[in-house]
Amino acid sequence: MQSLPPNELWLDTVWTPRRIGSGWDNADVRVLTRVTVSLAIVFAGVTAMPAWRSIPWVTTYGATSPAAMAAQFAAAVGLIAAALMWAVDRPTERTGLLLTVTGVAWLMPVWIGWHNGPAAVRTIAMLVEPVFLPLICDVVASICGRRKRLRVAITALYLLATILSFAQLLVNDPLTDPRCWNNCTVNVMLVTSQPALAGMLAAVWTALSMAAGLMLAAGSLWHLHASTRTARRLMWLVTISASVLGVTIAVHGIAVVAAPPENPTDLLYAVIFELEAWSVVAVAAGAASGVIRARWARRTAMNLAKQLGAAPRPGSLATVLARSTGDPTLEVAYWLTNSHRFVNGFGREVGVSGGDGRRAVTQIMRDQELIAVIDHDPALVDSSGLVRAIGPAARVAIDNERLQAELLAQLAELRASQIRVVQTSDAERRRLERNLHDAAQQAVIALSYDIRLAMATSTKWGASDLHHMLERALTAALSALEALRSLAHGIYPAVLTEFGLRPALTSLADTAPVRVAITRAPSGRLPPLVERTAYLAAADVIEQAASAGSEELTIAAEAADGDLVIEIRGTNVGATTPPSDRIGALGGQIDRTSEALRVRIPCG
Amino acid sequence: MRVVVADDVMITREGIVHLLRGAGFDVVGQAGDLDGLLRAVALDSPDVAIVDIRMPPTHTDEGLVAARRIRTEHPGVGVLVLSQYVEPMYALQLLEEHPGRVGYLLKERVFDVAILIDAIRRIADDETVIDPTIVARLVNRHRAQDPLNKLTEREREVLGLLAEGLSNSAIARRLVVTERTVQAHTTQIFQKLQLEANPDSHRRVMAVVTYLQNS
Repeated sequence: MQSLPPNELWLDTVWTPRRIGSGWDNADVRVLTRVTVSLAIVFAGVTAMPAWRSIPWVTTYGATSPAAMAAQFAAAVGLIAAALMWAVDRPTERTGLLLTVTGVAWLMPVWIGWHNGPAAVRTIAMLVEPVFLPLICDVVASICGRRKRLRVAITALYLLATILSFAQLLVNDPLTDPRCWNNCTVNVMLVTSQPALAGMLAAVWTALSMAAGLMLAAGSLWHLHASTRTARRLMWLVTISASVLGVTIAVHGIAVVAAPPENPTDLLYAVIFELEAWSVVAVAAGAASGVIRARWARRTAMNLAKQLGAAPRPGSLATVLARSTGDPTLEVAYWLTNSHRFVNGFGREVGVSGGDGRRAVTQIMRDQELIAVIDHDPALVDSSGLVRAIGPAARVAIDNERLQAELLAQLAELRASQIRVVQTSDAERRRLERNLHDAAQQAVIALSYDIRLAMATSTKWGASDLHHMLERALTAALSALEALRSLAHGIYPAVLTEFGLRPALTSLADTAPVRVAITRAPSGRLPPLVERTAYLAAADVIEQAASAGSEELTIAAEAADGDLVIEIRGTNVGATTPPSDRIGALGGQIDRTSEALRVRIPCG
Repeated sequence: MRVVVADDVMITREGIVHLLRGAGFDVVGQAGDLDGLLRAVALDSPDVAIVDIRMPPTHTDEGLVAARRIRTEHPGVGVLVLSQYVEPMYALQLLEEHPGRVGYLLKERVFDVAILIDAIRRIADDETVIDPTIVARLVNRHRAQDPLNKLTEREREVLGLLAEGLSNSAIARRLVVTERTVQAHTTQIFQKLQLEANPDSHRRVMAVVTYLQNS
């Protein structure tokens, strides 16, 4: 397969993926993310040391039991592993970086509780530890798609956590705190020991973390509730585990207030910790699953060309993409430059909503020219990566399908215009028939009335010669009337419009110059154009076969599989020509043998 | 006898009215469309309404719609539909819901005063009238494997008169035979065509016309 030079394919998304600050170059972000993730992996490994040291002293939750230790590390490893996936898969997005830092922040309590560890290290850990709360909120928001107001709330949370943490360290001397259990060390940042102020700051922090936890829980659940089905399928793990985490954080705050002091060996606190740790693991798993899913979708898309082949069935691209992304609402719309509209793979015109929040539109461009758009659920965060992956891989497939869609659209247009021509001609026929009935026929009827009046007068006068002449005139007028009637019927048979194909065919057979047997005819009604076309086909064939010398014809009409099939048999039938333009305009076809003619007209 | 005439073409309507008045009928109302006709029938309580099949607004089958409504809402009023269509389906539709006191005549026939008067009288007498041209087309058709081929010439003639809505005595008068002979022919015809004999003369007309149209 041919691959494109990178500059030939240009992508743009109306919905732009989140990137770190606009001043950053993608390459810088990529390096930063990779370095950070690598350092975080090393850091997690090193954290084993303080964790191990804390064991007999129970200065960390992990020290209480192997299960707690496993939970402690599982959460950090999970977060960093998810970060690694994001970093590899989408190195330019900030979610990877966020997950890394969150993983590191989660490990801070282990360093705080490093028994006999350097006081400076433990103090720094104490300073950093509170930032975990805004970080985890930021992670969830970042995966679910953040809104502006949420962004403000999270920034405020970052600020408050930092300020409180800093202020606490300035006035809190852990050595004077009777409840101290994990950080009973020298606070190197202490300026002045103010136990009352420190206690108050701790209370404010507890209240803040309770509020933030509840907001995280409520926000996640609301997001899940308000999402589209596709978004739910992609986000449920992150949102549900984030709401469990949020509730656990709030419960932790309540426990600190209601059941002091905090004690890792206490069953209540142990359970809260386990819940907290494993819901963090679940959030990380949710974050990773999005990446895995997108990767899988891209891999599927990469094989698109193989799957679609050189001549894809119409709409194949959309089907394959919808399957591989898990978004059943995904649609591919091709841009037709000449007629300035979007059509789907089947050539039918479609509207493209444009990024209104409910739908996202990803454009596929080549040489600065719009080729197609993918209209999809905004929850498909990696749409640009997807398009980037399929762009070069499925170039042939997309081109083929686009050409095919264009052809189908043109064909549909052509057919529509042909049908309009037929409809116009039918309307004209109908007008003619009406005029014949309402003007010409009425005039002849009036004439016959006058002749009869004259006849009555002539009888009164006893003018028998005149009477005979008037009688001949009346006969002539009546046969003119008969001629007009059959002319009108031939132009547009009213019985067809009023009663349908079966009575119309019967009437046709009864007035035909040859014997005609109707063996089958649909009793129900069909679309007027279909009925008229079938009728005219039968009428034309009967007339031509009769003048070619046929004596007996058989007609069988049947509606089957959404088509009307009318079959006419008899000598000379094969040489007749039904109205092929009209039949073609309706997408029908004519098959013939020497003694039979079969016309198939789609009813759709 | 009280008659209402509805036709949107004035010259035809006035011609009919003139003929009827000349023949001693009491023309109590005239109308040019469906609503006017229904109003006239409700107000003037005629014995028979003469209705053109094509009237405004659609000029297709307003006459049939009018006939149906008149026969349903005023069962005592007979309806004679005048038509341009030599189509048994229109006549059948007229017969379907109310087989008695209705008639279907081709328009040009109304100026033959004898036919018009005969039709009105028969309708007022609770009979059915079907135009001979339509019946002739049904009886003299060119269908392959036609069951009518089993009938004799005379039986075919009787069948046609049955389809026109004539009673046995009227057929006897027309053919100058006894009513018993007509009865015998009728029995033969019904047997050969495997039609169920129906004592109700209205239903008999409909059965015959339906049979002629469909087999």
